[in-house]
Amino acid sequence: MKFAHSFSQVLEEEDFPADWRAAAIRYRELKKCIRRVQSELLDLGLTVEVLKGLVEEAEGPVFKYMFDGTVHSFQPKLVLTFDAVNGIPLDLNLSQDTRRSLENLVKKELGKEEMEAKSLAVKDGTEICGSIRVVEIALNSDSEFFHLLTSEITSLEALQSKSESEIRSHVLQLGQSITAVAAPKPRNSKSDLYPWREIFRIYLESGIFFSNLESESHQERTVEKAAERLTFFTDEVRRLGIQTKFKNPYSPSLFKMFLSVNMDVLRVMRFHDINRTAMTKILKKFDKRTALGACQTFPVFVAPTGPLTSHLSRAICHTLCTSLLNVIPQLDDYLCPICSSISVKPVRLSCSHIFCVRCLVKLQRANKDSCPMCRRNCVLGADAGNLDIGLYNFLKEYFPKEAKIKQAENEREVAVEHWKNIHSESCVIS
Amino acid sequence: MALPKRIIKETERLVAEPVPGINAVPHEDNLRYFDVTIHGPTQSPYEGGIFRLELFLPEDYPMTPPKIRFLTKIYHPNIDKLGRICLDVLKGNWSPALQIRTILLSIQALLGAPNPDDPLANDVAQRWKEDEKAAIETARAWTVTHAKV
Repeated sequence: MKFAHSFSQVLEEEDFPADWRAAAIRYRELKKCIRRVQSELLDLGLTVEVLKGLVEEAEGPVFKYMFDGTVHSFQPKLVLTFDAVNGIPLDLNLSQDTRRSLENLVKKELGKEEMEAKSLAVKDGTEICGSIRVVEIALNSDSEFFHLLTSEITSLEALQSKSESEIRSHVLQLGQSITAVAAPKPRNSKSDLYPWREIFRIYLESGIFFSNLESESHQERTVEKAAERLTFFTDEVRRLGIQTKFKNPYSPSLFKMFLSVNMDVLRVMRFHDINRTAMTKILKKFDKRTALGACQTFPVFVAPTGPLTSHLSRAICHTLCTSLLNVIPQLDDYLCPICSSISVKPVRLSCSHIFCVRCLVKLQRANKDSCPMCRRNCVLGADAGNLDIGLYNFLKEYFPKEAKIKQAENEREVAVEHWKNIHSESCVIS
Repeated sequence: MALPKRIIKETERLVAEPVPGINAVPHEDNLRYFDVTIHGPTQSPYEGGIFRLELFLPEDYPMTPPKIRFLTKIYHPNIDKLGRICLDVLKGNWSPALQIRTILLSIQALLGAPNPDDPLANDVAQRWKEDEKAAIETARAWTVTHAKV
């Protein structure tokens, strides 16, 4: 009762849309269904204890519980195998009680003669002589239970992919709008390039849906953790006062939309999380009452990768990264691997690794020929022709402030070296 | 002189995202000088030991490699009595694209894979080649004596 209660409570309290609530797993109904399954099995003389004994003790095909058919049309059933002549189950390991109840069941089923029974000759019957008979008992309430559950899962999965594509199209639109307001000057006099870059940088560092730490191997976050990280992100943006730096009148509302897209992802995650729990719980309950082991077999039967496990956050994060966050280049992707500053001016070696011109000059002066990244001998051969002009213009356009500072630093460093040279020369002369 | 951006960035990342089994903390009064500890790799004779090292970033780092030395006594064919380490990437094979974290990882790996064919401590290397089992036993004993807290 406890879970049924909290489940319906969560569905009530969260602001899930009506069609979502309608698609949620009907936990109470499924629970009632389990009761019917139990009484049906009882009619066959199969109490939980007997079933437990059968499942645990039976070896091979004596007693089997299976889902026959495909996901769209299937029938759960019990399959019994026994000696055709005397109706004795073909398993010597069964305990007395279990054996007796099974024998009773067989007699009953045979007596009815309405079940389809097949005679099979044992093909490689070295161990067992004679023929065996297979009786299949279709379970009706059981079938009702699993068909209900399957249709719930199907509608949930349809809903999930629907919300996924909705969110995706939102993200794409948002990406275009943000590109427009954050386009660099001079095309865009009210460019919000810097504030948006800052927002996205904090967003990436917050690791909202995935851990951004190597040590946590970039794991997917739980819903609670993701919510916590999202709050951290909004607080951080507020604390740094980034929204006050917006110049473009559209930026504040775009930021609100950006947040609401994230909230949407979170809400979808939460909804599916609770439904997944409901499914696991109801299957557990089913197994507890029937000992048929559906926890193991059913999820695999419905979907090889397990039902309701679509990596929603993974799929959406991919879209977020490629079509939203990537519209604004981040400085970290354009750092010289030697000085960790922006690679201005960028020199591309013949091995296609890029360094800033100052670091490259230092390497050449130290007579180091091997590329710091791949050790190919191509440093000394580099000259003015290796300057990557396209990248240089790109960096100046998208990182005007950083490029300016770096340029000034470079000039200062050159001047200092120059002065040192003069100084040492004059020392020699005097 | 102001600390180069490269060193600031590396230090920040070392603190924010430490490498498992490796700890490097800069001195407050000299940000180029680090106190380092490395945990002995599992399934090596150094397992369970915590080894202290000192690391110094010279003026022209990263054009020249960091200077690193073991402070804890260790029985290893590529580490001598003074704690000096024989490792190619700390010498001729240094590349300015390598970092403190990568170099400390290399040292940790060296503990897991001693190389007696390129020795620094000749006596240890000799012993390692002649009677590897006994040498490993000694390394284990030294770990217990010197590297356990």
